[in-house]
Amino acid sequence: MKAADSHQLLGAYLLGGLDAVDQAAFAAHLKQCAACREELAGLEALPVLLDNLPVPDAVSLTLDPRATAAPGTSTAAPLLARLASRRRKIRYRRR
Amino acid sequence: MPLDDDVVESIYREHGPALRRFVSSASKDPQTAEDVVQETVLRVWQHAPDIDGSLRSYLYRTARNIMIDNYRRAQRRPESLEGSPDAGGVREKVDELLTRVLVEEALLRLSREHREVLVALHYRRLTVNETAVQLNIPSGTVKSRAYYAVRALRTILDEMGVEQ
Repeated sequence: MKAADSHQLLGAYLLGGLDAVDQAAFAAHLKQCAACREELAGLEALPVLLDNLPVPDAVSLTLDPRATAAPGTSTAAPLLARLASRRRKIRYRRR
Repeated sequence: MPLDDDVVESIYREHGPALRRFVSSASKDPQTAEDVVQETVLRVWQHAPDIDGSLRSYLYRTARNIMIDNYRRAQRRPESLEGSPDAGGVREKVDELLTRVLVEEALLRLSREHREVLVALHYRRLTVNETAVQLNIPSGTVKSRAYYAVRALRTILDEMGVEQ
């Protein structure tokens, strides 16, 4: 296997899913490749971070992109009223 | 200089739904949740010039702080103290939710190709070969996409200010 290919095994090594042959190949490559070790160190916190998102939520992101975004049903009017009132207060304080 | 009404309204329209989902998962009362969402957008309006990086993650963090402040304030009122969890527990829960929405947000910013491979390998625990069959791409492509996906994800998380 070419060195560039070995390097790219890092992603699946980190996320899981390599077969035994690739797993062994990358483990061997890691021993000789300081660049890979350094890169892995910068990425190895990712799986734990990813686990904060439950599996069904993560899977749903691939089914229908942005399916989770509800249509904008609410109006911005109450917000703009609060904005106007806050703006008046700021002006008052500055006087 | 604060933003004008149009900008505030567009922030609310664009980010309101996502923000509401985050806040609603921490607060059961819809009116309280809506108040937090509005207060969040107003604070962004006031602090707009100082924001760099991702507006969405700034909004989430602001909402998180407002929720925790509200909770502390409510706790000082004696009638609401009974049976309520301590502020540390609430902060932990809100922070957990915050991390969850930030991860979700980061995954949505990946390209579809990267996201599919990452979800298949990490969340669905598929092997490279299973992923290749499922996505109908060569297994070499799965491996290279996995590599570029984790690199892209790290960059996105750094931009969003997620350290870990």
